[in-house]
Amino acid sequence: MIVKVDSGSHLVEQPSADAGSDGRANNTVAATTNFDVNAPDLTLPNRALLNDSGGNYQASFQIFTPFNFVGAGTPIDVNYQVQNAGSGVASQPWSNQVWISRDNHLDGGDILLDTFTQTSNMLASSTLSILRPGLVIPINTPPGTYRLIVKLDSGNQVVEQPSVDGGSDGNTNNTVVSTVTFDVGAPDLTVPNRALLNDSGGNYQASFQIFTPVNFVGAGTPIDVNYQVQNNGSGVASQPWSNQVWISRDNHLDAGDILLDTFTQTSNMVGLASVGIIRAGLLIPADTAPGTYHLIVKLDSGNQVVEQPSVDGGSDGNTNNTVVSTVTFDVGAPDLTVPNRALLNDSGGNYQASFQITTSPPNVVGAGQLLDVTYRVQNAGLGVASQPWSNQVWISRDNHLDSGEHPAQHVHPDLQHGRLGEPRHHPAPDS
Amino acid sequence: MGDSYTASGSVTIAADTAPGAYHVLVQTDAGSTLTESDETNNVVGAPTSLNVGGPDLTIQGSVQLNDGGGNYRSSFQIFTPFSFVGSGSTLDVSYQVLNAGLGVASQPWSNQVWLSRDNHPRQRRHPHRHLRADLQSARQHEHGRPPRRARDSGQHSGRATTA
Repeated sequence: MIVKVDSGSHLVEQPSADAGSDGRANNTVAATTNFDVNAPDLTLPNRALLNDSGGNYQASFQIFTPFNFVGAGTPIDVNYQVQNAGSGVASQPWSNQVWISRDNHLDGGDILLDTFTQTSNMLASSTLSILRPGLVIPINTPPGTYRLIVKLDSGNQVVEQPSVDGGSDGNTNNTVVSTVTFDVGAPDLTVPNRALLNDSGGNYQASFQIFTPVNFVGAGTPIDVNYQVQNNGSGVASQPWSNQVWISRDNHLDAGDILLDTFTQTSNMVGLASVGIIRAGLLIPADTAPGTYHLIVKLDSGNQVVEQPSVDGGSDGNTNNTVVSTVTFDVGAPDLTVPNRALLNDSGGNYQASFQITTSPPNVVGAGQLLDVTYRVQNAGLGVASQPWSNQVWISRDNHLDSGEHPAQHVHPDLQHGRLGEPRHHPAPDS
Repeated sequence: MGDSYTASGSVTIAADTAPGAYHVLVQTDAGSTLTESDETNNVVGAPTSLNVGGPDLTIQGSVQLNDGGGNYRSSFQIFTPFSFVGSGSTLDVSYQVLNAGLGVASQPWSNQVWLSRDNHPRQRRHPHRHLRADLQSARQHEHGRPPRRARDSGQHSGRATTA
């Protein structure tokens, strides 16, 4: 310490008794003993210097969250202690950050959860507890085990003394990792109440939570499909993603199956929740072959959601995204015929006849002459008869259209082409 | 399901269709374009049969007569301008052809003019001499003309040389 008297040179001093003619030569005098001025040193208490393949790191159990498991997209509370290990006051403001990391080192790929600004000074050799509630693990955080890392004075706003842990840099002990870990869970989209079954095609998932209210539907007509979507993971499933509805002749989504619908989910879905989806008016294509079909739902068909390993096993979170309905429904085809027909029999076997076929003239016509033929066509099936198709008018020496002893003679392909049975566009029935 | 429509159209009975009773059959989805739940009811017949008549060529005004050679037909619509002609000379013959049937007589066909000692052609014991193949070949009812069911006729004439 140094004292300088009459530092403003207001006095006219006599020649100094100590030296020479300048009376101010002895105005400045230093103390005979030294003293140290110490700065703050921010860190976390109860830390230990550890080492792994990534190098040295500081770890402390004074950083923790009450949760062992948290879903991506959901919040956690983080507690940590701040210690001013120096002898100086840490002067506000400064900022502390909370990160999550897959290892013990703050580096690329780590995820920042929080930046908190300290707005009060912190005395030397004091400790402060900080609770940061509701820090959200970002949606789509890859599932796995994470550590909390606290970085004190992240903006290097506090001038710190050389760290008490050694070295000349007072910031070396500002970044400390938690000694305990916690797990982040991703979403896991599936259909609830499913069972893992097996047939000749291999394993498949089946659930009664996929169904249509009808047991029988005609090709070319619409059906409503209901299914439940379950997020079986703890993470939030982030929109958008797409779900598809297929129909299949078996329990497996493969070639030849028919896509009925692609629905885009436009809202997030929290973990461990279910939602019901109704897709109305899904059209069974008119050329669908008649028979028994299964509904198959493929969730997240575009693989837009990062899913955790499936609860049904395996490392692939998508293994339970495709689920088949446990009940089937039948698709009916069209059935074109002439109405009011009767099944008759002659020596040539059975044949069908109907008064809905008339000619003009009705009884006699000359070879080479025009004959007007009127007939009625009925779609007696459930399915839509989708144009184009052809009808033909023949004359035959018997009641049978064949090429045998009395071959029928093809006269004229019918001019009628149309779509018969279409609910909205069918020709108006005539009387 | 159950929708229906009525179709109608004119079809031409082929001119070479053999005359007789026929059934009109309608075959829906004739090309098997559709996959149907029942493919056995696509062919349905009309409940009543339809008679197809063929053409019937003859000479206008012919009547059936009888002589010692049996029945024969005769018509005043075959005539020549002369009642006497010399051998080796030319004879003009006119006759009226009638299609007395329902069917169209479709060309080509040939008419022949014969000279006979009696009223009966083509009998071996009384052979007739063929004078000349008729020049006329025609279709009594051409396609594109409104078909007439019967009694269409045409005048034909030709010149033949006697042997």
